[in-house]
Amino acid sequence: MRKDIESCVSAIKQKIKGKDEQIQLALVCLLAKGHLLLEDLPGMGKTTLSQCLASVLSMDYARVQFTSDLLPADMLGVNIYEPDTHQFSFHPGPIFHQVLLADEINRASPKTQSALLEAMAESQVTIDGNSYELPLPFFVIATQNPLFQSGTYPLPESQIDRFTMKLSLGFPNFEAEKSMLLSNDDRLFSQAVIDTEQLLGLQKQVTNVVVSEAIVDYILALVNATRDNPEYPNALSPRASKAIYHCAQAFAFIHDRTYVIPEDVQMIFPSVTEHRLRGQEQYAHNATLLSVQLLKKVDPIAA
Amino acid sequence: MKVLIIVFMLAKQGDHKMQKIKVYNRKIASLTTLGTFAALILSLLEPLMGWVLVLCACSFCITLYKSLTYNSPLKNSVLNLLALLCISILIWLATDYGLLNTMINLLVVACCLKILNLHHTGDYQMVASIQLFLVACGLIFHQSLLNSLFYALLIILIFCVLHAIKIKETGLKTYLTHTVILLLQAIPVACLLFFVTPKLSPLWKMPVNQSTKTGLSEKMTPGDIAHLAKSDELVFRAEFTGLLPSPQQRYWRAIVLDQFDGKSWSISNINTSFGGPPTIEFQGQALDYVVIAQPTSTKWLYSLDIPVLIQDLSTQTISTNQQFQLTGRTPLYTQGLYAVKSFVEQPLNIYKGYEDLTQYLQVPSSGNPETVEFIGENINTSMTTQEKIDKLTSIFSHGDFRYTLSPPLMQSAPIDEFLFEKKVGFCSHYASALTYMLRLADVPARIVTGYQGGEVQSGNVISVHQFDAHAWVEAWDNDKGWTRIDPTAIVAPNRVLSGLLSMVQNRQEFRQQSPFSLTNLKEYAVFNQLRLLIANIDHTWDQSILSYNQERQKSILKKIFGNMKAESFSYALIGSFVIIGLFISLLFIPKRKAKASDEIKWINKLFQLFERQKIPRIENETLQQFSQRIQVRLTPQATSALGFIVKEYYEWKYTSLQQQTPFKMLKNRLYKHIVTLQSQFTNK
Repeated sequence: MRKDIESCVSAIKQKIKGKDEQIQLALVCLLAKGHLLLEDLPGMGKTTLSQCLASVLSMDYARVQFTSDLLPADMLGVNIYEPDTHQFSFHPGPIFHQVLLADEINRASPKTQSALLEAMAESQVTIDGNSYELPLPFFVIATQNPLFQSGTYPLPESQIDRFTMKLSLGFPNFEAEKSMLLSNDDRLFSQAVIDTEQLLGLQKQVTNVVVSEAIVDYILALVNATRDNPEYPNALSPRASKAIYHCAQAFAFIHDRTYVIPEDVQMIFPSVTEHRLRGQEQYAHNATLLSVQLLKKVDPIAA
Repeated sequence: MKVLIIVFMLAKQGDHKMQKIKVYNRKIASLTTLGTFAALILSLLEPLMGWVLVLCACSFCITLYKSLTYNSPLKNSVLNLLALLCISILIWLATDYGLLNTMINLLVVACCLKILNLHHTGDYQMVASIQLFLVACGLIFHQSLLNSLFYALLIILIFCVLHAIKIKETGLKTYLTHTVILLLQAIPVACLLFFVTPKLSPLWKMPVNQSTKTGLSEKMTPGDIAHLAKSDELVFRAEFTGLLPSPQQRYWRAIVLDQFDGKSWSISNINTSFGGPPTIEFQGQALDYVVIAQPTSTKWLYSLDIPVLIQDLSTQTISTNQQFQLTGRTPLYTQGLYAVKSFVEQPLNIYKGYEDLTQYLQVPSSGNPETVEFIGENINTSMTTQEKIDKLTSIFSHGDFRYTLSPPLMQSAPIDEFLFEKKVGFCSHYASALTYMLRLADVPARIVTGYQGGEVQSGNVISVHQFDAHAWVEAWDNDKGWTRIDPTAIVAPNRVLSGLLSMVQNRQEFRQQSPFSLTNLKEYAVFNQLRLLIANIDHTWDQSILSYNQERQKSILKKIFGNMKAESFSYALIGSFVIIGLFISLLFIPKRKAKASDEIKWINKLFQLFERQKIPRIENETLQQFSQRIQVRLTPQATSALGFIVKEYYEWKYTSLQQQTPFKMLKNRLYKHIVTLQSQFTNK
């Protein structure tokens, strides 16, 4: 693994124990300029993970707690009439931060959800006819409770598709939880490891990672296997194949390789595609993930 | 939004409608399939075994019920088991039943079982193809114009079924128009093939169903001829120039049978390796006539005793053998015509001592014990031949023997059963029994099959039909030579004097077999004319289509292409067939898969190398995963070699290197590592 990335990971690891893989994938998502959806039960460390990510990468961070009465303006900002200058001035909302934690996104109304998602897709917001560029890097981490919890508005397929990755932290194992309790560290923020300039530089380097034709063929074979196949109710969109492409690049990059190999694709594949393949369907927890089944069906060498 | 909903609902409805049409089409298809199935079975009753018919009826009923109500699939395992059972029964019965009949039964069984599970498109296609084969089988048995039309209709229906399961519209008219258009397109090709395909006998010759087509066959089991007696097909016409023979003289010889196996009579080898006829002086009254024989596909011809061929063009290919049988050089596929002179008064003793008689004394070594005992008691060596013959024929005049067209089945010891139990039979039973007894009594004897009688028509024409088929006996008397004895005449003298028709008194028995036969109605002029008209059309059909053989093909082609060497013609033919075949096969070539590249081949070879060491690749594993998984099972050298291969391969394949360096270079670079791997394996 690259040294700089490795130190990031180990910094976050001090706060979130036993979740190396998820931390890596979250970094991959960030480096691929994607947005992250965390789905888990309350209290599993979703917020902590996003805070750590922000502080380690020295990005400014805002958290919006989504509730059913949250309005788009609460998040995007409003024009307020200034009696002194007799003019409207724009008061940016929490979205104008580099890392936005949209906590419990599925408890807000669809109107607010879509306002956020528009911002995610276009990296800018338009209020009263004026467009405002969002800061760079811009990274949305949305968390949601599993859908069976009450008072939730499930994200429609079209919006789920905009999240590059969906991760689930899950319960820590015995050792990890024990060391968490013993460490007795209440500081929420970690030491900054990389500054913003460096991060933008890394993001740029990621795009230079070579993706050979063989890998593109492999990605397309995987994606095409879901189309016209009744086993997959939601086929993978071209946006999904793009996401696979970028994440594979980022994954190869953090492993200090200048080219993507099939294993990279396989590593990021479940977290990139599972939520798209499932749609609103609930996970049957003991069943094999659809994406893993898919990986078993396609030959990476012949593709 | 509302518009969207409406569009959506319409689409849904359309979907529903599609579904409905599909269901409707399926229903039509399954009912039509059933219809064609039933029609085919009814037209094929003759060669089918009883249990197969029962199976057909069952499967028909079940399928009808299923297609009218609901459609739940039958378990495949049950069907497979049933199929296995049926096939084993068929194999068991195959030797008794003949290859052709068994195969037809097999096809019918297959159709029966397949029809029970009509669900997917494939099922319908399978049944349709089986039915097309069955149509071909039906044409073996029935070749008249009417039957051909019937089968053509069936073919149209079968194609309708194939059509109905594919299209998305409905209505009988659509099916029919589409199908007929399709079939019309096929007709030119079929005609071309029919006229041009070489009629090579083993490949393109129709299998001939013996007793129906031949009339008389070269093997006779008592009861066979009774079956012929139910057919009113024309066998031949004889046009006499002078006198007509008297009814007692109308014994039309065809085949001499001299080999007996206890059940049936056949032609021995000695009989077939004959020379020419003995030269003798003919004397007495002679009858001049021309025989116009219908095609039979055997080489046996008919004549009255004792025939002398009138030498001309038509009789060049016909020869007379020492038993005074006429045989053609080739089987009679088309109508044949030959002129004969018969010396009816010439006694049959003319070729005394000419033949080796031992064959005519052959009897099977065992069987029919009662008859053997009876001969032992009643015949002694001191009796003269004539006395023996008299003694044996008297059995028939004194016992209460009856003549019948539907004799009971006599299985184990047919002659015993016939002589001492049943005492009813057809001419073949009488002839068979008498010949057997004569042979046991040391009198050389043989069975002659042919026709007896005939219908005298206007002018001097005698028409002989299949129901005139007859069998009689010839016995050798040292003084007189061959003497004709007709045991049937003793039992039922009318049979010989006035023919079978008047013999079977109220004709009930005769009519039973062919209720629609126009022969029944020949008293009425209109029907008689209709009969003649149909016979004429049928005859033309026979002449032009069914008897189209190699020679006629040759002559037609000669007409079209002028004088062409047979050789060059056949080359041209083969060439054109190959070209047509190639074109057709192009349609069937599956979409070409991308040719496996060198690289894929190489990597597969690599995996095979490990597979031989019982280290198979898990499906869809990458090379790296594979090498990591199997590391523990390899020697350190092999591990490092494999690791190097993986590294080099990955660096080549997944970087921009792939564009710059050809795979061959990589292959050469990795060669020594592969060799290391191989040597590691062999050392192990």
